[in-house]
Amino acid sequence: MKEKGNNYFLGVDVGSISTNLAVINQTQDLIESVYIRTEGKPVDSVQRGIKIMQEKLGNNLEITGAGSTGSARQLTGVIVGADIVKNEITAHALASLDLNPEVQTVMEIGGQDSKIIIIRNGIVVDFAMNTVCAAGTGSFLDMQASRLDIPIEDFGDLALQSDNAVSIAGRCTVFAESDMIHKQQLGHPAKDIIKGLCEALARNYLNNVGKGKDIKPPIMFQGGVAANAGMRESFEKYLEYEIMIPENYDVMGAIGAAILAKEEMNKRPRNTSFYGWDIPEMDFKTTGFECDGCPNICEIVEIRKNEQLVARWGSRCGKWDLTDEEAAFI
Amino acid sequence: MKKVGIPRALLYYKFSEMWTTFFKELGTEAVVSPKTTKQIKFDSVKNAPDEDCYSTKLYFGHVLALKDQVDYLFIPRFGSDHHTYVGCPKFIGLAEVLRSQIPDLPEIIMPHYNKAKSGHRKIAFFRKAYKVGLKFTKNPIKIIRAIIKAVKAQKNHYKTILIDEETLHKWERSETILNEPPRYVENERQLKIALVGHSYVLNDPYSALGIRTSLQEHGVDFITSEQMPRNLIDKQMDKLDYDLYFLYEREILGAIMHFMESKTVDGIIHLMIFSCGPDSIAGEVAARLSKRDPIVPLLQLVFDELTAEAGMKTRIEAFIDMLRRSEDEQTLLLTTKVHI
Repeated sequence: MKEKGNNYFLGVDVGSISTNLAVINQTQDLIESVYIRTEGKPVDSVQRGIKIMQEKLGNNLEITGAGSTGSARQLTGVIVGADIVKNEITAHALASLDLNPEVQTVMEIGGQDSKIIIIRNGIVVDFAMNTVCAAGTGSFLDMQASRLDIPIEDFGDLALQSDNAVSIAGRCTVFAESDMIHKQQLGHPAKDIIKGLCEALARNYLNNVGKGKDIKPPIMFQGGVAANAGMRESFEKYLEYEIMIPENYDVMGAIGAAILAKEEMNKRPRNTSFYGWDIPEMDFKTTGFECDGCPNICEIVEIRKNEQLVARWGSRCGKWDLTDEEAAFI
Repeated sequence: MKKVGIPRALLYYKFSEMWTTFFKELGTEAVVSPKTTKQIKFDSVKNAPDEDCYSTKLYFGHVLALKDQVDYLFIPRFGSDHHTYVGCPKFIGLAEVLRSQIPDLPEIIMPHYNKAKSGHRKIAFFRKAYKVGLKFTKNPIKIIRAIIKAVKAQKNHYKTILIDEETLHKWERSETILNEPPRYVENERQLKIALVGHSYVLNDPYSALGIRTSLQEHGVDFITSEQMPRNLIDKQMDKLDYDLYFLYEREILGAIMHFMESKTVDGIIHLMIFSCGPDSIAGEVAARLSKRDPIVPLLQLVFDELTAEAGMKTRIEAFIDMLRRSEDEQTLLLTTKVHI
């Protein structure tokens, strides 16, 4: 079904922990969004996400353009037939700017990655990502919640109940955990430990990812961890500014990807390569092997859609990349 | 024919022409180790001291790749080839460290040359090279000819790599291309970037994760710090209120400072090696200068054996996007949402 004069764009953001989808219209209003867990199987989760999205929309809305982002953006791009594949920094910045053109700082904390984006006059001027350490990201909070047997959804609110945060070393998650156990064995109540943890993680973020960055308001905080009220409060404590959390904080990456898709179709008009709503019925198989052509021993990945080869990557020399003929065949 | 092994790492990327020509002219076979591979990296990390910088570690892997194929290894104890400024002290100790770490190495040819500290001039250089030559031939004419040809080859190498000021300005005005021609991306502005780092990082696709190719594919035209005219580097270095005496670091910081001042590039990418002392100084200086004058964006990437390729790619892509969008008028249309 195609509504007259209206175009719809799909954005898919597949990260380490969650898979998010968003559909926007021509005026960049969010029509519908989906947030599910990736559970280590990005192909399955994209298919599941598309199915849920289709059920939510209730009709076979025609998609004019599709974009993918997140750490699995390349794979996702192949599975949905994305028109544009972009990094998550650009996607998050665009989604935040769309919501509030005045925004000057975007903090994003997801499952494994945390980033900071500095914006001036609607233009990204600087950014940073966490390097090798995933301290203070969603997966660590998840792990601690399950260790303390507290549902992750209640984690933040519990922190708010405490007015006496214990001090926890936030430099490294391994040390943070032993510190937490130590405090718990001394008899500190769980809420104080959780609040202490939130503060440690906020400090860690500001000292590592945010190091040397000029953090100015308005500040937007998004990504899965933004659901944690304790984290928000800790950030407000250290930054001494009010922190805005967008209504759709958990699907901002997907909204950004959808905006990028819209932009791409305006810039280079063409028919979308989106495979359509029957993606969940398609059969995707990925196989991997090691190339023994040289001592680099590259790990090659092949993706097949309904038995047909659609993508192959991973080689340094490029010898396994699809040839023009193979690509044209698709 | 005797075989002399030359590891393809560190100073090889500066003096390859001189060294290979010299040994060939002496009637030996100069065997250069293969390009860095996963296997070489693996052997490097396993055998090199923990505290060494990533590039020095890689040297170990290249030595291991050569050791069973050659009669000699050529690992000069190189101090400097400038009358005041010095190279890295690790270059001087390298041969001895390798000999103590890996016991069954072939004989190492390790002439010591240091213009800045030991005052070695032309005659000392000649004497040292002559002594190396005597290992392979008793014929003085052959040795002298080898030295002359080697020096000439090195001069030619500098001529091809270094550009003059005029060429630089031409590049700055987008009238010429100095490196791999950028891929054409439909409807996107071609970007110009200064790619800054040590020769052994810029030219080793393995350690810098193929950054040259990825910039080319993103439609980015670039200049490298090793191409920069020396007089402009020195001019920038004079502005510091201290003397930066690391010869190769001057090249790096000088290039960054030149482009921050001239504002003739869209951005600067600074490739740094983890635990390199001079790099950490220049990195901090560059970051502070960039904060004071943030017009030309600076992206600093630190490489080591643990660097995750995915994260680097995301940073480079995001940086390029940032540069493209900042000029793109279309972004203005997109950021102001129209309500109907």
